[in-house]
Amino acid sequence: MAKTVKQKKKLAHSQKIAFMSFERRRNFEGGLFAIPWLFGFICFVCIPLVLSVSVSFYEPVLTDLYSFNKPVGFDNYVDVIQDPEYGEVVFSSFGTSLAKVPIIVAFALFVAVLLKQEFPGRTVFRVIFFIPVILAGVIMTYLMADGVGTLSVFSNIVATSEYGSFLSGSLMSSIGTTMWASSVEILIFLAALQSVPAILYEVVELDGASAWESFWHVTLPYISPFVILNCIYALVDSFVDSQNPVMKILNELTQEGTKYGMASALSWIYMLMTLAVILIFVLLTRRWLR
Amino acid sequence: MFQVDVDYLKRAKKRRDYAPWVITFFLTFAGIISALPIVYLIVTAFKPAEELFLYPPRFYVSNPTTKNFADLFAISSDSLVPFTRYLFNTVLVTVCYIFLLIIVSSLACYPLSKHKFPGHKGMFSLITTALMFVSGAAAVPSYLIVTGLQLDNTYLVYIIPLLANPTCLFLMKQFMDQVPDSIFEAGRIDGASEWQLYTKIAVPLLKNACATCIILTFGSVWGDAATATTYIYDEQLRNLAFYMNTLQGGLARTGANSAAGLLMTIPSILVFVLSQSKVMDTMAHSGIK
Repeated sequence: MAKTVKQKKKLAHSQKIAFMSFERRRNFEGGLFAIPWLFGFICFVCIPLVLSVSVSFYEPVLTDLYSFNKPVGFDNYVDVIQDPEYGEVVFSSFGTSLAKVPIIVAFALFVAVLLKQEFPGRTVFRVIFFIPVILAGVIMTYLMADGVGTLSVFSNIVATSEYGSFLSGSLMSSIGTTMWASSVEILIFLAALQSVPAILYEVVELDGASAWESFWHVTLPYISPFVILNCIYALVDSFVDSQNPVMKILNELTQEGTKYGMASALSWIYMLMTLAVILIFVLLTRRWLR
Repeated sequence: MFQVDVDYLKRAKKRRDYAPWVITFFLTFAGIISALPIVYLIVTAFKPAEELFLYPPRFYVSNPTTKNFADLFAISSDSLVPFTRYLFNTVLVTVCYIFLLIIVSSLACYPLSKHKFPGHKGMFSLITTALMFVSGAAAVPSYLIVTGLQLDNTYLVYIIPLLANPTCLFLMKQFMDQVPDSIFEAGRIDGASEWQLYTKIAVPLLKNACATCIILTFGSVWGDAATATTYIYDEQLRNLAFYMNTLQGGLARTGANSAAGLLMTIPSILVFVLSQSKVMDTMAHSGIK
């Protein structure tokens, strides 16, 4: 009799353990799903990143990049910081990027809200606003090199039109490039807007809210994580854009072939600054990020 | 009382009527500016040689011609490797890449969002960091790793190094976060395995995010000339974007090049038009309340 009680207790105990380990096993199994991604990430992003840190402390030569024969300490960093040109370029490109982000995100949200409405020709407009992303890469660089999106083209248009006097060329050109930069954000917002349950709008409509009120009290709170996502995306996008002057300097340094150390140092300084900006941003907007 | 309500509704309906016009007007204005690059691309493809070199470039063409396309076909017919081979390579690589990317990203986003496995927070901050990864400086280390794994000069080099795409994972995780945990708990109570939860619940719910990822990545893979330039030595394995790039350079080929640019863009636009309705489909239909 005593034995069976003991056995029962043991059974209950083992069941308890089994349950715990069930939860754990589930988490472990779930974690397994992330392995393919993690593998690629570690191989092709993390390791090159770590190696580039060590490169920034050496003076590598092209023929033997990882011999690490000539340690130079912080010399590369000192060189980058002391160069007056780099500092100026980095700070000015930071300023431009930071100023662009709110405009891009606000414009994207506005357009996405409009594009969500039912109206004739909606698909055509969606395609039009997405064209810059479709053209991304080779073709966009080719167009940029040709002068589309720069002052010359827009001022040319403006000069030939009657209203040229009150629309200055540089204003037009910045409107144009901002719009081209916001396509991805428009797409993300459009997809996010679809995730707002229609029933919420029904409820506030029954309560007598106007479209304006329902935007501020239903739509915006619901998609706030996506607003933050888009802000980060827009920030990063403008930081690593190939048209960004810092990126151009980096390309020059690596293509000259001998200055890998300096290029690594500059890109790490740049990346840490970017990281700091985004960290501050995330900390500030934490309460909206569910 | 009832009468008043009907009147109110009528007025509300009337008031709303002009809204589409305002929307259309604004969007037309913004749309014209957004459409300028594609307009330029199309116009340039039909420009005769003397108009191609005008500075500043024009957004219209005075004497349209199809000579550029004829030039392009003439050049491609006497290239070393047949044109269709480049096309085949690009299509194969693009299809495989997008298929694998969707699988890898959705697999990773499911536990990242729904399981608190050890280190999930660290992984998420890794992704956000990777999003701002400045690729310029790490180009050389990446090259060494790819050649070290002997991926160079194979089709795999187009696919594997780019599979861990942080943007896609970030996007998918954000969508997954919107799906309530209770759906998965319900599945778990009904005895579904993790794999079943993933294939039967997570994947169908992620359709919109997948479509978004396809749209975002298609253009970059389709037009990826850098990979072929860096890692592929065998002409047979190079892709269309690389071939189009070789057309650049040489004033005589500028016309053919602009025609090539237009032809390269058409598939991307088709993919967008075909999958955009998926992105726009309401998630409300998918059982999320």
